[in-house]
Amino acid sequence: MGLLAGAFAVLRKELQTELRDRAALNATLLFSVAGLAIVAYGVGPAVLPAVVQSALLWVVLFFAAFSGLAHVFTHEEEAGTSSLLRLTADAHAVYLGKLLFNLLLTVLIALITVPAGLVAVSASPDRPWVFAAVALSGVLALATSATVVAAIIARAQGRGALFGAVGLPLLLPVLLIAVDATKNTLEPEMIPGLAMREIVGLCAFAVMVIAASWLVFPAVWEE
Amino acid sequence: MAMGTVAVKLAVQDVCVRFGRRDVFGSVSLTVASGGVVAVSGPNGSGKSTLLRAVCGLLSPSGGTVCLSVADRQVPQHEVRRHIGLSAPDLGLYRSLTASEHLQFAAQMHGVDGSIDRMRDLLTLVGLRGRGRDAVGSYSTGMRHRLRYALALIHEPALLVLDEPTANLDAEGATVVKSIVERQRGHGAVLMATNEASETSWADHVCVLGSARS
Repeated sequence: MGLLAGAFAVLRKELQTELRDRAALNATLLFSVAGLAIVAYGVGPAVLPAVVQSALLWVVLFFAAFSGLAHVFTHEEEAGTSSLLRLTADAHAVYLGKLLFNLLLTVLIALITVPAGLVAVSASPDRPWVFAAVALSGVLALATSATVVAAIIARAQGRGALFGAVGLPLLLPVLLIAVDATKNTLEPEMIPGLAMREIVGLCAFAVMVIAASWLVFPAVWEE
Repeated sequence: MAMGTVAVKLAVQDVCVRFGRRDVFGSVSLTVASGGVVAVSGPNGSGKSTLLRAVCGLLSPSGGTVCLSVADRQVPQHEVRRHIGLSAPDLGLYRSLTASEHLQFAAQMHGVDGSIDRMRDLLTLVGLRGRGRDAVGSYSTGMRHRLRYALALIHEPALLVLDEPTANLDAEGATVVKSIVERQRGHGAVLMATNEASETSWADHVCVLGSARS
């Protein structure tokens, strides 16, 4: 069985189970709606600096996304289905399938959260397409980082303790670059060169994490 | 579903498993060859299920070697699971997927025939015909165990590994398992972990593990 065919079989299985259980979707919707409501209530009619608008957007997006992203692996361990998956599927097909699912889920969350978040913080980017490109590259980096963090955490005993230790160094750089890039796109005088540099930075980070995850995942998954 | 005979040999040599400071078992050796059925028995905590997991490559032994040969060729570690079918009561299933979806997924992953006819044959073999479209969440414990057999057999493995073969099954289910074991005897080999006298009687050899040690 080819790698891509295996990955799509895993993705289809993830979509089938998620569309029926809605465990990840419900968690992300709860965090999205609650986060946006709190931000909208707290900000009110005030006009915030671009850096604060950007940080609030990514805080809401991060918590909404991560509540669902971590689910793909922890659910397998908790339901005892990880052994069945290990017996039937190649480790790389599992990684790729789960990554694709997380990417789809994060893009879906971003499609709901980002426009609503812009309204909540009263922000309107002058160049929406550049803003959208920044958000998309940030989502890509977030999903790739969260997938490998979720895999490591799910397989480890003492998950709570590892959560911070593994997640922070991997997720913090993504969020800092994303906040900085988004701030630039929300400024009245955006610097296009800086935006492009940060989009490339986020995409490069995502590629680097995928490459490292590709090497590490079989060991994480099998042991 | 007639299956050809496959030359298979499992050689477990001085295998031990340690969890932290605790030895689950030490230095176990056994051999299972084509046409053979070997049972592993022993008290609770003696490591029967752990030994089966080590054989299936779901767990790395702390010492010793597990070698699987199929058609007189030693199978590399990363290919071992293609030749092994495992059925165990603690093997989780996806509650929201149907039995057919489980089988189709497994067939796709193993790269074997996932046609409707093949699914129906497997479900008939394990006594689940007509229930293929029901979500596994609606199944009884015994029906789930039957589905595990269908999943274990989907790729016609050379070695069938069974943990507590008839756990949660009724008399008819136990008869089905016995027929599966006999069928597998003609195709490859069977390794099972059990303490049931009725099940050990199916075996040619019984390997007894000691009690749990600290």
